[in-house]
Amino acid sequence: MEASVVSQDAGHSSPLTGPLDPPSLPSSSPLSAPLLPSNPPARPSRPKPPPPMAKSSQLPSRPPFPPSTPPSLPPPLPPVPPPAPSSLSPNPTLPPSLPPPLSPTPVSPPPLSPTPVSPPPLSPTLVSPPPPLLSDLTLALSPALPPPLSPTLCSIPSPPPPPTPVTPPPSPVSPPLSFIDKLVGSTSVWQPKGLSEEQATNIMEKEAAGAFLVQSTEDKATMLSVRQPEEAGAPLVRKLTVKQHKTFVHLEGSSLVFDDIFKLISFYSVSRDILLVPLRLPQAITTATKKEELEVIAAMGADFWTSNLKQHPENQDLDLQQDQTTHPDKYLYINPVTVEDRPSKDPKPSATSKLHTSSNEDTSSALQNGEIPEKIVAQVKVSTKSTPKQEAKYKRPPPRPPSLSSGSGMGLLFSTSSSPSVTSEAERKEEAKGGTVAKEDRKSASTSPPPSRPPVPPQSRAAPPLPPAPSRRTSSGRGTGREVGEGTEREKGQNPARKSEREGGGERGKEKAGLLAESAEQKSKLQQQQVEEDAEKGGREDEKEEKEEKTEKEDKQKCSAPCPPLGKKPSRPVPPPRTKPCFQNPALNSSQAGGPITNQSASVRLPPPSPARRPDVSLYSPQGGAVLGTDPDSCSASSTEEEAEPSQDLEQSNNRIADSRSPKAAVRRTPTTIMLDRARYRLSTVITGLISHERRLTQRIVELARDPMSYFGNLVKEHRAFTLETMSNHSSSTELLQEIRQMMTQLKSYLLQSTELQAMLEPQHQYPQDKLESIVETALCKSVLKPLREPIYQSLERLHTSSDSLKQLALNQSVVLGSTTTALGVTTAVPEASAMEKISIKLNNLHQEYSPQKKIETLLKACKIIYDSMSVSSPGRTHGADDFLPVMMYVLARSNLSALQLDVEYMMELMDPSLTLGEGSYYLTTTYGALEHIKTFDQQRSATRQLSREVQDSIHRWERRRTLNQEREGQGSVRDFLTVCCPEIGSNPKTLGVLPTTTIQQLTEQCATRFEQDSYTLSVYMDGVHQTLAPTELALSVKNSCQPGTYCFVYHPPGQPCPQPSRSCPTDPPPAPPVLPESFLPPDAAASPSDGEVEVEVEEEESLISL
Amino acid sequence: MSSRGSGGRSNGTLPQTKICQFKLVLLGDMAVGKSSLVLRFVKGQFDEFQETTIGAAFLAQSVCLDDTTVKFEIWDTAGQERYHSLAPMYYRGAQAAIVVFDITKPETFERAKAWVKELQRQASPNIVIALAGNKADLAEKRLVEYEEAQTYAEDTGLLFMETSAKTAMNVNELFLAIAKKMPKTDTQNPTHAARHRGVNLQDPDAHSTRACCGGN
Repeated sequence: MEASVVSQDAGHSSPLTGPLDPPSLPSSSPLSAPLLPSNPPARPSRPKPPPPMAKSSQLPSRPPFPPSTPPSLPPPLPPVPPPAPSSLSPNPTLPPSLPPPLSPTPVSPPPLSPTPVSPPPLSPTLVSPPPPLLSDLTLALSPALPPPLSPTLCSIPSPPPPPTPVTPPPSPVSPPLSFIDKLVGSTSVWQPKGLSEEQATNIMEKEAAGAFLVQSTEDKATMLSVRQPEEAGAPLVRKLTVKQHKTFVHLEGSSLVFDDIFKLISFYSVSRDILLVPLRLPQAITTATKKEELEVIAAMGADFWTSNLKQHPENQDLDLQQDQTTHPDKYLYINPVTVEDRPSKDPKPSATSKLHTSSNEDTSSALQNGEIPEKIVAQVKVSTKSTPKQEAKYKRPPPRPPSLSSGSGMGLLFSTSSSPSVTSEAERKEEAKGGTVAKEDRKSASTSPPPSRPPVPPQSRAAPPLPPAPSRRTSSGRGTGREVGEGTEREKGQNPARKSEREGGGERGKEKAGLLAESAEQKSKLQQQQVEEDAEKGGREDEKEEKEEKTEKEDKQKCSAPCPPLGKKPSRPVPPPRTKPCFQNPALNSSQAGGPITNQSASVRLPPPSPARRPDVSLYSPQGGAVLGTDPDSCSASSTEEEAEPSQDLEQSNNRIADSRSPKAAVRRTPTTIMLDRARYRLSTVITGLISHERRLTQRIVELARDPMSYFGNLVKEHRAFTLETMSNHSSSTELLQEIRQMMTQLKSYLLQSTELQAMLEPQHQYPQDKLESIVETALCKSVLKPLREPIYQSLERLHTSSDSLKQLALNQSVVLGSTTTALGVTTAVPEASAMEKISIKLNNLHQEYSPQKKIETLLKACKIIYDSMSVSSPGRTHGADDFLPVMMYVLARSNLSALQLDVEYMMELMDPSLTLGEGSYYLTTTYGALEHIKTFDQQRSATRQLSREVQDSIHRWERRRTLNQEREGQGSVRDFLTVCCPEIGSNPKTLGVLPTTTIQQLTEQCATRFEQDSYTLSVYMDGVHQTLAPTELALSVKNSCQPGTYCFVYHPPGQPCPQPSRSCPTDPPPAPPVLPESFLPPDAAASPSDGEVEVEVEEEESLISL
Repeated sequence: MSSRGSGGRSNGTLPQTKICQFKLVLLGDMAVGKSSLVLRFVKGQFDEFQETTIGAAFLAQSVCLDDTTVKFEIWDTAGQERYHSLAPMYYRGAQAAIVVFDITKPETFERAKAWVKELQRQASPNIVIALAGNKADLAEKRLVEYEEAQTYAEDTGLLFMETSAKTAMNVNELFLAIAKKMPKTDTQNPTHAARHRGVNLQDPDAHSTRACCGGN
């Protein structure tokens, strides 16, 4: 059991760690919300039936405890002091024990049941994460994770959880996106890849105080750059090293430790601690209300800082500061909440980290933790002072937690939900029999605290595994006590946070939720609904999955739903605590284990799911599999695109981790292919089943496009930046769009020929060329058009506004609207109100879509509705253009023409020119024609033909452009490409763009840049024979003079003509089989003896490039 | 849209699988039976080759001709005079056009002549134009003599047939005649053609076999 669990964790963590950190967080955050409910189940499952029972019984008693323990946990918070001492003291003791627990825990899921005693692990967490863990343990988790934690748990568990819940309430922010969501969603912005320190400093200097960047390079310290207030007399940009302590991270000079960078950032966004000012996310991010907005921002990465999106940060800052000054006191409570959040998060990471940490466990860390608490307390106090400001900015830290659960939590939710479902197979069965009743109970419970209790019993019946039930019970029982405690804590402000931290465990979160629910009202319903919706989404996606899975999900959802209710008032952070608890448990374990920062982040992401999965897998293999599957689904729930991404991210992260890290990482790396445990195996199969290879490839390409360290990513970035800069220079919309299309076509052409794409292809999944092209097109739409969509539409609108065409359209629209159907030539039924509404929705969807292809698909759907409504009056009759066009006119006259006008242009100019449109082309033309017809409607009757001239011409031009584009594309591309190996044949091939006029000299310069070697020379090997190249030769002519497959360009040290002449090299860029280039093919590097060095070089090169 | 006009044809190795795609536009006054004519063609003997579309304004149909599979993308146009101005958007890039008139309505023949004139002036120079005197089943109400239309067609270089969408008379023959007259040697770009073909035709092989049956 344990082993399986561990492996899973590792897999998860690995993805999280590397570049994926941001993604991982989201997952974790989302999970956290769901986790609350789910986590408990998961944990119970591990311990198996017995533990749950104990939990349920224990829970009631615990309620009183929680208050006491929570305080201790909060360490960071000022109020903590009182509790902190208590917690701290236990913690110190625990630390030593912790290390051992970690290793064992992963392996021994079953043992966990006894684990309740394991508190020791928690002690390590003491630093900050521990609290959460403790709470978790106390609640229900203790059974599962406990082994290590149990010791600590015993003391801590019950008390901490309750308090934390209270503080969470601040979450009232309820808005869809919590702070954490935003933080996680914008990771690529504040933790951009490929930024040099100088660049970071330059960027920061232009920002307002509080702006920050996190830079981390592999194997190097993570740096936090903070823009300090100018009046401070300190340097404008302060750089702090983010240090890794075991599995925790902390700022150099501060003893506050966090599970991961996200928690760290979250905390310092509320409390400045050792900073001069609290951290502040760019306003564009903090004001984002939709995931889509975040995605657009995130897609820009470091470019965000120089983009238009970052609007008037200074002004905003001022506003924020004012707000802060005005409402400092109100937000004090929030701080505690944030603290809690951290703990919760920590648990997750810890779980994942366990894998890593198992080897690293250090008693010393535990000791340190013990020491830390005091410091933390002091710091917490400080932070509280600063927190008000932050709160004002973000309105409320607490919200983050909730949002995490709801927003990013998608994945988490699933995990949580999944975990419950998994854990409670028995429950499920029971439910199946009389499941509806149980479900109803749960629902009722969710709505109100009392109801929640009822559900518990069913759960208990079903099996110990039922996590949700325990949590509820605990919450209900403890609720009162906790509430009281919370109330006091809240007053203190800081205490709650500590408590929450101590609680750490998912149980804690549950308890909190219960408390909240009881104490409160149901203001949090909105949040709950969100959570539920998320869960539902996940469920929908899962539809593919078996019915069982569905039921499980439902259960999970229900569970999750109840938890959310905890916070009656939106203001309360309650939701977060729930999520936190789930994570916390894992975090505790992981924290104990202690691992590298990167690992932590990774662990954080993965941990949540893994915990749930572990139990499931071990206990209920089938369900576990389902659960695993659900996670991906959950991801998808947020959005199909997003779904794919998470998986991709995981994979990538796994790969990276494997490459750069421990063997564990390697295991993770091949989650799909290699599974240590059954659980993993199941997970992998589920994932592979759910996520198509195609989508995964698409995601990889998107990821590549976002990676400034890759050549392609750089191209995309530069193209995008160029487009944004020049967008306002265009005088016609056609010109503007054409340029963008051309850029996309070039990028596509490059990628199709590049080794970068080849490196991403899975040998077992070969695509025909046209399929590959369409995948690349899709990925490009996502990486290029998605972030550009908004600016494009703004520019189009500007151009059309200045040309009065939209005005003219609006004027004539009313004329058409006023004309009779007879005047329009309508001879059939026209769409009725309901159909019109459907069409309107379709057209609105069309407008929101960024992909031209998808827009066209949506247009076809709208047209289909028109056809359907036409045949109402004459069933069986088929309608040709004579009938259709007039009705189309009728419909368009009642639609948002200005938006559609822009949409039509967008589709016509940006769609893939290589695609045969067929039907889409016909209806796009018809729509365009109808729009033009409306523009000229009043003149129509008298001067039809004259008026149509312009239209005719524009269509004509459009066709010509398309033809030209096709021909251009047919020729391959505007540019050609060469693959160059360095320093020997077959090693480290890179694809370089080459113009017909590029000389060898210029190509050598390109090589110098890409290979980071100035002194090398460029040669070509033909059939293994070294040929020297003249600097003035044209690169392409050299290439063309060679027999494909028999030559290889090599960039090598001067004096060493041919390292491996005998070896035939990959001729063209794409073909290059040996491709080691990006980190994707570590195995290859290992394969050849000489590769070792090469690989190292590559890595260095890449890092340099990133800088 | 039509840029690719005679789109893809398969590689030369297997002549039987050669595939040509053409854009065919339907012109004619309202109610002369444009849609019916095409529907008869599409829904008739060639069911197997029909591609599902959301409506009858755009239809796709493949026919087999000797060693070639010819795929028609059929673009219907609105015959109302008020929408005449939109017609050029449809016949731009079309490789073939069927101008339809109603033999019981002389004014539709006049309108057809106007369309032909416009096509010859504005459409692609190589466009294959067919003139269809529809509603041949209503011979007793005939007001446009066969010889008159035949003469006109010969003079202007058109394919001409009298058809009946109702009885299916000459419907398939008309499309086959057009298919035969289409240039099968187009090819702007081999690679392109190949790719397009792939995109356009899901199952070339099936088509080819089918074509043999249906085409002949």
